[in-house]
Amino acid sequence: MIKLDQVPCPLAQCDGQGQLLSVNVALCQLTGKPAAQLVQLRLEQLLPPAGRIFLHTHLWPMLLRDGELREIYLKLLGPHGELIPVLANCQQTGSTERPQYCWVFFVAQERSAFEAELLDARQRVEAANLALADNERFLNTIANALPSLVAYVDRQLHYRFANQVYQDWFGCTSEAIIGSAILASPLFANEDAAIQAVLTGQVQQFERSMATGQHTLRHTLVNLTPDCDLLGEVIGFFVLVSDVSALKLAQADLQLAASVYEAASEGIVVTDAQLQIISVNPAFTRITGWPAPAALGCSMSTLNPPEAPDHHPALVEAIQQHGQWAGESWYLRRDGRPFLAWQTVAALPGHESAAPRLVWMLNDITERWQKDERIRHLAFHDPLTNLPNRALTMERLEQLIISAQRQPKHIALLYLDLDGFKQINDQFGHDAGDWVLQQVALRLVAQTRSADTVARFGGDEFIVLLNHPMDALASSQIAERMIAAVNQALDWGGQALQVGVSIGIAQFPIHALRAAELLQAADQAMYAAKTAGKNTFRFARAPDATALQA
Amino acid sequence: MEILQRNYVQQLGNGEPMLLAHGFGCNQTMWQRLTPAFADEYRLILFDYVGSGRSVRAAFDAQRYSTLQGYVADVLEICAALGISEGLTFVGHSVSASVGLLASLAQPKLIKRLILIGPSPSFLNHPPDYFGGFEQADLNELLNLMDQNYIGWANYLAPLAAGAPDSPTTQALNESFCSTDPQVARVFARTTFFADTRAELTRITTPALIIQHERDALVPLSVGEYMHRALRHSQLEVLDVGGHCAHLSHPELVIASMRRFLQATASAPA
Repeated sequence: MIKLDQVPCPLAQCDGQGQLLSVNVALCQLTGKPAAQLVQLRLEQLLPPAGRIFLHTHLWPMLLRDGELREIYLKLLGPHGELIPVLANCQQTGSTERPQYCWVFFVAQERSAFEAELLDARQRVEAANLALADNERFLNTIANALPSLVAYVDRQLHYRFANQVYQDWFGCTSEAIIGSAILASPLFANEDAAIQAVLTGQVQQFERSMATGQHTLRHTLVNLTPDCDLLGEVIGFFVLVSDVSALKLAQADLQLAASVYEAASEGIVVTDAQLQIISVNPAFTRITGWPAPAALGCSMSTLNPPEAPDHHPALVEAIQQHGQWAGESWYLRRDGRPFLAWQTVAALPGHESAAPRLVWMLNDITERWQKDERIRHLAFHDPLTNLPNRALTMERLEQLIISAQRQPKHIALLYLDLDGFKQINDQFGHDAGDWVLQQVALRLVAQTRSADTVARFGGDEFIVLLNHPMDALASSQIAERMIAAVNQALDWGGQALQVGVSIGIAQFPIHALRAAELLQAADQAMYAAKTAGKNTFRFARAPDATALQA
Repeated sequence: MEILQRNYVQQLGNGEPMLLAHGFGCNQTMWQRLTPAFADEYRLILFDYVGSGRSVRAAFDAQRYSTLQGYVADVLEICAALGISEGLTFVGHSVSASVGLLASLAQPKLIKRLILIGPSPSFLNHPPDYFGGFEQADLNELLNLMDQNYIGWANYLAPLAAGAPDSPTTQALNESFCSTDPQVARVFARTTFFADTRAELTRITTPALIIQHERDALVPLSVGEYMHRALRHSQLEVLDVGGHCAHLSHPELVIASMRRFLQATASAPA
């Protein structure tokens, strides 16, 4: 019978709860504890924490289930807490009611070192494989996350890689693409030169429009980048295809917008919020005479006529409140000529990448305004003499009366009727008559001040409104000067023509208080002058008091 | 995937359903000393978590099983597959105690009562209030031991020696350990040791029996007392046992303790 202490490997016996019952000398030496102390301990106390977990989660369940353990790798705590690798075997003995467990430990320093190396090597290989797989997955993820088509082509012009977008684009699986010849792909049709060039190491770029699987035409930008080995030999190339359809469309839109800007008949100006000009279109230059280089950086207010009040602050305020403004403004052209602009100004709100802007659309409406003015003029003037007509004259008379009521003053209305005009018309024709009327008009105007009005009521009848004559005498003097001026002979192609004029004078407020009555009173006075022998003047008769009060 | 096949679900006996959930490092064969005592009165349900025992390895998903909820899902899916929706007695060993507790929170009606053998809400120390017994560094060393034992031999060296990965020798070596796959074992080890269900304990109202080993290197006595305080309707039984596997080492004590609890809670409303 072998004594346990003679066995050269550590032995122990414990109960079903791990309580050590007996140990041999070898275990005492291994653990550095005397047998008397060891039998006070439980088996797990010979193990470090991880070993205890392993013992209880793996070993005891197996041991209790199977009654034995074979070649279990463990570490025992040495005398100084160092870990001693052992291989453990265990066998259940004793009765089923009171089982005992015999442990045999083989110290396995060398073997364990060898195994640890193997394990370490294996773990490193596994880690490297994992890292490789991770790396590949990472690259795949990147390639597949790209919105562009990515592929790799080897020197034999076969696909070696194609990302998900590439597969989707051409409607084939990775398996179908990998290994296939690239020349079959519409991407490379007629691009032999580019392919040859990339194989000599030159980066290539070309545009390609093609129908995709869904038969919609797409515009792409194709980049071929050579892949060289360590010796610099091209072993393949990368293909990067970017779908630039959206960019193309956007570019077309931009071009359209730009050409509208260029071709617009309205002057378009972009300014900043301080009205500094940032951009102008050709129409602006055409209208204002300011070429873009000269206009840029100037303020819109430079266009304002110097004497006019600056309407721009009010405009800016309106835009701040309503986002836009529209209206007419007088501006100066570069050569100093004024022009009337119909302007619409809109605010472009700023955002993080752009400051707020104002867009000004300028329509030159000077000509239209002039035409309107001409029409307005025609409506209120006698076309032959360019003098105010009856309508304008009566309006001015009404206004004079209104202002005279506020600030008491006199108004004199002179009713003139030419004498001897009919004979000229009959004898020399209407051309001569018209010419005479024009000359008379000039002479009458020459006798008045700018505040006065000389008008023609048609035929050979003229009206003169004297604004605030000093008195009746002043009016009569003017009437006399007018008669003298009209009497001057006129030279009609060597033929001396002469007309006279009979004048009736009515005064506000002496003869009438209302325009029509004043006109009527002057008309009657004119007839009185005719009756009195023509080429003279008469004042209206003063109305009786009752008529005036009414 | 058929759930019952996936988890290698085995059933014994008739009666109220009783599901037995093994702990980390084990499989359903660990219940073999309890099952004869209850098969007459209960419908016993045994299973292996995915990755353990004879479960289908292909169903393992490291993401799913990296938290206890993955294991809870295994339990709930098994019950659903068996048509069990109430009245279940859940018996859980070690980390499976936590699985049972979480399952009872997820489906309070399903689980009638909990029998927890060597439970621990957290194996790690959380000073100053909680002493689980271990530090994170111990986990790494444990993973190494696991690698050396069943990666080193069973899965790496043994196949070389035996000539083929599927040789009977390899199979036998793998069978002896309960988790046959090193990746699975690593995931399960991490999940087990990083699990912390202390916060959930106070929300649980299901009647529970805590079977605490008096001398347990994995679960100190204080942990059993902690759980007893935290679980509102719990009983604590401390067995005069060393170790962490009383259901294997002292099945008669565990059976007696379970019977007392089962009788005491038999009339309790489900």
